[in-house]
Amino acid sequence: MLSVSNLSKIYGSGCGLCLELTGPGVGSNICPKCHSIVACARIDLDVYPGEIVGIVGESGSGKSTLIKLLHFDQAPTSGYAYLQGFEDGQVDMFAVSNQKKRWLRNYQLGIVYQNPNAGLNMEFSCGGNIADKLIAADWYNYTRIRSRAAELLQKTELPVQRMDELPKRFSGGMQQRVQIAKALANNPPLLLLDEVTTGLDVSVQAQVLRLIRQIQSALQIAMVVVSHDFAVIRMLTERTLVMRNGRVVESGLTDQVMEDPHHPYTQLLINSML
Amino acid sequence: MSAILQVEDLSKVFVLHSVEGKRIVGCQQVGFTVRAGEFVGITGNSGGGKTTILKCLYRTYLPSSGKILFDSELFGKIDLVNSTERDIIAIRKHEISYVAQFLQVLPQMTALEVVVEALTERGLSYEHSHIQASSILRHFQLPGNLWDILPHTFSGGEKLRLNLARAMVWRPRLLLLDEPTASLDEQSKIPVRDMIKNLKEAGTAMVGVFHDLSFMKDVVDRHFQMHQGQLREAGIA
Repeated sequence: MLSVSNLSKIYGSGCGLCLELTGPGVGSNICPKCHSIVACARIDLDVYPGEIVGIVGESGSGKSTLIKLLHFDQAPTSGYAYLQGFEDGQVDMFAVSNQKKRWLRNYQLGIVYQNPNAGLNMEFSCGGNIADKLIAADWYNYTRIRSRAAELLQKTELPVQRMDELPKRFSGGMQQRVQIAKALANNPPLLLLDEVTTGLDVSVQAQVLRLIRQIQSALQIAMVVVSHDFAVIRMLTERTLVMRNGRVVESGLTDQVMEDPHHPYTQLLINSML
Repeated sequence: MSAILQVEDLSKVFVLHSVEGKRIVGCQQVGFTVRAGEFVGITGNSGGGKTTILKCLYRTYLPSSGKILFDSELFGKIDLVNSTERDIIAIRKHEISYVAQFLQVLPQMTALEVVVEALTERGLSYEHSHIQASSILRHFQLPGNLWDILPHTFSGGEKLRLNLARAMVWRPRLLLLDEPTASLDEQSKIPVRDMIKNLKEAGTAMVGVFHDLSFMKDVVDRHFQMHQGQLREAGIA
C-alpha cells in the first residue's frame, strides 16, 4: 500500500559526494567534504495493507527523519513514494502540489510524535484537537464532530467527560492517547508512530502498546513504528528494518532480525539489550 | 501419505562479528522428511543443534544453505529457505505453528485472551474463539482461576501449557515443538500426549525436540539423534 524507493534527505548544501562519503562503512553521516548531514540515504521501504513495520536504530540513525519525510513535515532531497490510496499508487506523492500533499496528510495519513507538544495544540481542548484534524478533512457538522471525538476517546480508553479539558493537564500516557485518537480521527489507512512509548513508565507503556495492537487488529490500519527499543518492536511488528547512519543496514522478519542478526551493527544492538 | 516437509542438506552457520567473525556451526547437512500425520522426534545433547533446526524451519534463523521444501496450501510446494518475508508471515499465520521453550506474550493480556487472540488474528469471530480457547485450556487442565490472570505470574508448567494451547488451538498443517513437556509432571503430560495424537489423526505433521525420551517414544513415528550438528536416524520408534 506504500512503496518508497531511493529516498534521501541531506541537511546542508550537499556536494554530490555526500552519499558516497558517509554511511555505516565510515561510521558517520556527516559528509567530510561539505559537512552536510546525510539523515536518510537511498531508503527503500514497502508497507502492505494492515501490517506493522518496525524501524529500529540508535539516536541519529535517521529513523525519525524518515517518518517526517513520509508525513511531509520535511521535503526529501530525492526519492519517490507511492501510496495505494492516492491516484491508484501511480503518482509519486513527493512530486505533487502542496494542496495535494495536504489532502494526503489529512485523508491518508495519521501521525503520533514522541513529544505530545509536536502533535497536539496544548491550548485547544482534547476534543478541539480531534476536531482540528476532522475539520482539515472537511467535517463541518458540529454535532457529528463531537460524537466522533467522543467515540475516539472511548476507543483510546480516555474519559469522555474530559473531552473539553486542555491536554496539558493530562498525564504523559493520556496525552499520547489523545494523539492516537487525533491521528485515527479520519480513518487513515496508514499510521506513522514515532517513539510513542519513549518516556512513559512501563505500566503506561504496556497500555499504549496494547491499544496500538487492538487498533491494528480491529481496524486493519497499516503502521510504521519507529523505536530505539527492540522490546517495543518485538511486541508490535512482524517485519523490521535496522537503520544506522541514515542507511538501512538489515531488514527481515522481526524474530529473525533479533535472534539471527547478520549485520555487525545489528549484532551489537542485540548484544547490548538488557 | 504425501510429504508435507522435505529438508535437504540444511546447514546453519552463525558468524559473530563481535568476536572477529568467529563461525559457529549450528547444524550441517541435515536431511529428513515428514508426512501428513507423522511426528518426527529429535534428541541429542544440549547445544547439539536441535533447536537450531526448528528455528530454521520456522525461519527465525535464516539457513546458510540447503532446502526446506514445504507443501503449502497457500503457495504449493515452496522452499522456505528463500521465500519472501511476506510469504513466511502468511505461512506462519495459516500453516506452521511453533511452540517455543519460553512463553512470550504482550504485557497486560490474560491467559484466556492470549489463546483467544491466536484465533481472532486468524479470522475467527470473538465468540467462536472464546469457545475454542476455553475448551483447549480445559483440555490442558489449566485451572480456571488462572484464566483471567496475567501469564507472567504463572509457574513454568502453567506457562508451557498456555504456550501449547496457543499454538495447537488453530490446528496448523505443520507444528514445531521445542521440549513440549520440559516442565510438566507426569499427570500434566497426559493431555499433551492426547492432543498430539488428536492432531496426528487430523493430519498435522510435527517435528519435536526432546530430552524426555519416555514421553517421546509414546508419540513419535521416527526418531533422529543430533550429534555435533549432524542428524542420524535412530530407528523407528
